[in-house]
Parts: sequence; structure tokens; C-alpha cells
Amino acid sequence: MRQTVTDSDAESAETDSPAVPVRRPSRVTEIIAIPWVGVLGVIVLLAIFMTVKTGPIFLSPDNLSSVALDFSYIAMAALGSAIVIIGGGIDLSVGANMALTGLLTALAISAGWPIPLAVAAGLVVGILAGALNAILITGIGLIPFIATLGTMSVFRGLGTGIVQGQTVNAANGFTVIGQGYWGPIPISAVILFVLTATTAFLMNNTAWGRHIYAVGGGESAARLCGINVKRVKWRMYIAASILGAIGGIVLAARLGSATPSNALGYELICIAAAVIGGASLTGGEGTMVGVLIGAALLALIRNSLDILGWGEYWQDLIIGAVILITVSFDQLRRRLRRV
Amino acid sequence: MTDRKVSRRDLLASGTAAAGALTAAQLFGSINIARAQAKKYKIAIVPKGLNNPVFKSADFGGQARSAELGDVDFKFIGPATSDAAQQVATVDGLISAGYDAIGISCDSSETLLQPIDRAVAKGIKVITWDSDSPSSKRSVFYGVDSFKGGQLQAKLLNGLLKGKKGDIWLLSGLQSAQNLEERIRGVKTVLSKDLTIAGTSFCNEDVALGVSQVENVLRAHPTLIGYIMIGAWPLFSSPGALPTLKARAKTGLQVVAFDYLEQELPFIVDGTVKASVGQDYWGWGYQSVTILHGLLQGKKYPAFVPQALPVVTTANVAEYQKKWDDSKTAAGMAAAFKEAPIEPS
Repeated sequence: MRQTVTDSDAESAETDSPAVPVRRPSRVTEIIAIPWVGVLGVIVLLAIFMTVKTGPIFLSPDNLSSVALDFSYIAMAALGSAIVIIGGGIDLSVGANMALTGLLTALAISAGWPIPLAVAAGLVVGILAGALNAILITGIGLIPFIATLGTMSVFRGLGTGIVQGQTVNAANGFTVIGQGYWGPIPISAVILFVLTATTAFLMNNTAWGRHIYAVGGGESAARLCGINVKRVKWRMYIAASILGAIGGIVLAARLGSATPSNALGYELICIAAAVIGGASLTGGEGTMVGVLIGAALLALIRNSLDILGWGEYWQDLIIGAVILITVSFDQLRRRLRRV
Repeated sequence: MTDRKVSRRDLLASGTAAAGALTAAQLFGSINIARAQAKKYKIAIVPKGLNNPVFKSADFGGQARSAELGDVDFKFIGPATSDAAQQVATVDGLISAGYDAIGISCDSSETLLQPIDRAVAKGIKVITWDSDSPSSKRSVFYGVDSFKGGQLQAKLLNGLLKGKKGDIWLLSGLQSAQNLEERIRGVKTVLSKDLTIAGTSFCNEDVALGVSQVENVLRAHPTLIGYIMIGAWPLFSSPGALPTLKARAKTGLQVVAFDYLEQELPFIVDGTVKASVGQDYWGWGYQSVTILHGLLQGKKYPAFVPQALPVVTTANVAEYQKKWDDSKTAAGMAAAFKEAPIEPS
């Protein structure tokens, strides 16, 4: 699996120089080289620990489908955050974007709009939110951190202002998106897997995605290669906002209601999921599958703490520690890979 | 030095000028008197965060009382989301803007202590409502007795589980919120000896996290017989979001919650929640303006003015649903939740 522009360049260099003897990496080394393998290992260890400690509850289909239901909307938004991070940017507005789009979709539904139209309206708001981020970053030249910090406040404030702090009820057929099941599998989890597969395909197999890796790997080099960097940034911020909007709509459907304070602080969870899953904050590196696994790990830790009844006052500390340990191990793995 | 004769014209001019000055002074004085008579007290009510739906009622209540009094310039202002530091900035801004009186629902009792004392030092009348800062120099705290609220929740659960032994679970919001910790303390002092608190979850006042925690806990603890929600965060969703809670409530789990906001009433209607202890949300604004206005006029109030703790059950939930149905506007809410202004001591 190609992870970075540098890697792909190296691969092409190898194929261009058949005379130079190349030692092919072993199968084990190849597996270890996959960024999210370590995280998957932590999940397996967690599952073993929980099974020993609590019996079959943790791995019961009931519990796992519930975890899938609860982490799907965060993972959807995290896919978007990862695309931006891979492209060398950052999006702090994703949580506020989720709240705003969920709120406006719920408002449209409570006003009697047909569900597809209300959902489409929410997605349009997501596109506009992404366009605003892109204008501020590529047009005015603000650094992504500042631009999205500002829009985070704008989106959150817009939602609060529109409904005057009130909760909007959306408990009708719309909730099937966030509460319904296809057999034992939550519909929201199916949506998540479709989104993961689609974004993974786009990122790995199309110029659309490879240009994002290239820009994240180095803007100047990408520009010299003839890539329209501004256009790439527009695409990635709009894609991230659409994914955030889908997450926000699914969250509103999950709860059957929406408030301006929904998804508060989720931007940091999304960034954490992306980084745990192997995305590099310096850009140019990361995978969609890794993000999915990173978000799953965060959800499973919280689920485990709930089941164990541990750390009433210490949950955040435990989650933070696991994030740091996982990312540190990943860093160590990268160093060993280079040696 | 030159001698100068005073002409008749000069005398006339001087007289006219003096008369003009006198008239101007009289006019200016009467304007000032009129201005003084028309003076409006600038009163601000500061919630923890504007994004919390519970505080909209306080806004409507404050508007209603200000309209009744007629001499109040009312402002409902606070941080967009709950944040103690932002609330400090809001209070400091109100001090600078020359407000006469401020009522605050403190995000953090300790963090708000200094700005409250700064305001009091400048002669501003300050009270706290909903959430107190007891060590500050505020004049009055208006709100429920959180400890008694917790005790009432435990008494209700004791009654629902009479004769049964087993484990119960608590759900709270923030570990740092004084009023929530007081409610937990109240629960623990009154809870029947047959009931054991198996654990407590904190959902950071996040609806989605609260929903997830309740569902996780119920699946992990199939023997739980009771649940006390110190606040109603998971219930700000919809019954479909909590299928395990709903199913277990049908097979004997007894749930007692806090508050009676519109969003949570469907859970009482369908029997998932058996009882919920409420607060007077509209009164937070209505009575806070009453007390602040009274203090500005030199009236006295006790340091703690307690609110009633109404209990909503399936028996009276329809009454509360109607109140909320009628409360879509400030005037509608005033009619639905009307109460007598608090009298000074």
C-alpha cells in the first residue's frame, strides 16, 4: 500500500533501475510497515483483556453493534479531518460544522420538509462551510489553524443564534439513519463503511487523492509537478466538510434531536482518530482505513471503561494516556522501519 | 487701565444674557429631573451558556418581569457555550458597561468569585441563580437546594423499589459542578440500605455521550434495578435513541431523573422514566430580576431564596406538556408558568 509520495517515488525509482539489486522486504516487515497495524494490535489486546475481565459482554454482537452505532458519526467526520491532515492542513471547524448541519437538517425536518430534501439541505450547508474554509485559506491566505478556528466559532454561533439555544426535535422517520439496523448491523455503520471504501479508493487510486498526498508532502514540489495546489485545497476542505456534515446529520438522527452544543470538542477527537490511525500532522501520510481503526479504538476504550465501571473521575486521563501510548509506539515503529 | 462707562445697551445685553442663562439652567435642570425620573435600571442575567435550552426559559422570565416593572433595561447575555473563562469576560464587560445589577448562574463557583467581588466593590448588586458561588460577596442565591434535590430523587427511587434489594447506577454531567456533586451527596444520604450504587458515569453534559453511557452500562450490568440521572442529558434525545433503557424499564428497571424540560417528557409519558424532580426555569429569570430590582431599591432578601422542587410523574406529565406547548413565545411562557413575585424579607 502506498502511503506517501516519497514512497511512491522510491518505488518508481526501483522499477526504473533494474540493474541495482533490491532486497525485497519480508512479508512480516511489510505488515509492520502498515501504520494502523499497531493500533489493531491494541484493539486485539483490549478485546482479550475485556473478555478475561468481564466475560462475553464486550464481544457480544449487541455490544459491538452498539459501539459501531456510537462511533460511526465521529468516524465519518474523522475521515474528513484525515483528508485535510494528509493534505497538510487542519480543520478545527468540523465539530461546529457537525452541529450546524445536524441542527439545520433537524429544523428542516421539523418544518415538514421531506427527509431527502432536508438531508440534501444539510449537505449543501456542509459544502458552503467547506467553501468558506477554502476561501479563507486559499483566497485570503489565512493559515488553516486560524481560519478554521474562526469558522468553528462562526458555525457554532450561527447554530446557537438560529435556534436561540433551543433543542430541535427530529424524532420521526429520519432517525432510522442513526438508530436503525439492517439485521445486526447499524445503518450508520454501513454508511460509514461505504464512505471509508469510497474515500480510500479516491485517495489511493485517483489523481484527486494522490494530489492531496502530494500537496501534503510538499506544496512547492507539488506546484513544480504542475499540480494546481489551490484547487486541491478547495477539494479537500469541501470533501472534509461534506463528511463532517454527513456525520452531523447521522448524529442528529442518532439522538432524534439536535442542539447547538452537539459535537462539542469533536474536532479534537477527529484529529486524534486520524493521528492514531497513522495520519501525520506534517502532511502527506495517512490512510482512510487507519482513521476507521483509530476512531474504533477511541470508541472501544470508552465502551470498555463504561462496562468496567472504572475511572469515574479518571476516564479522560485514561483515554488520553492510551492515545499517547499508541501514538508513541507508532512513532517508535516508524523509527525502527527507517533503521 | 481705562475708565469705561456702562451704557444702557450694555445693561440690556447683560440682563438678556443673564435671563437666557437662567432659562437655560432651568431647562437643563428640568431635563435632568425628567431624565432622573425616566431612569431605567440596567439589569443583566448571565447564564452559563446560551446554547443550553434550559436557559431560554430564564430569558423569557426575565423579559416578563422587566415588562411588568417598567423601569428595567433588561439584558440576557452569556457565553455561546458553557465556559467559566468566557463567563468571567462577560461579567467584566457588564461591569465596564455600567450595569446596576447582575444575576449569574455560575459555571464555576471559584472562577466567578473574583468578578462577582469586583462588581460588588463597584456598587453593583449581584445575585447568583441556579448555580451559586457561596464564597463570593453576592447578596442572594436563588435556586434549588441541590442537596435536597438529590435526597428527593433517592426517596422517589426508594419508593419505586420498596422491598427490593440490588444495584443502581448514577449518571452525572461534570465532576467539577458543585450543584451536581451536591445532588449526588444528597442521593447517598437518603438511599435505602437495600440499594447499592454500583457505579457513576459522567457524560460531560454531552447528550450523545450520555446516551452511549446509559446503553453501555445497562448492557454490562443486566442486574441493575434502578438508575438515577442526576441531570437529564441522555433524555434530550428521543426514546428511540435509548432502546436498552426503554426495554429494561418495561421489565422492572426504575429510572428517576432530574428536570422536566419539554424534550425529556416523552420518556415520562411512555413510562421509561417514572419520576423527575424539576426546577423553576422561568423563575430563574423572573425572580432574579424581582430580587435584583428590589435590592436596587434598598429591599432586603435572605442570603438563600430556595426554589420549589416539583415532581413530574406519569400522573401529572400532561399538565407539564401543555405548559411547554403554550410556551413557544415569551408571552405564552409567562402565562403558562406565571407565579407571584418573591416578597422581600
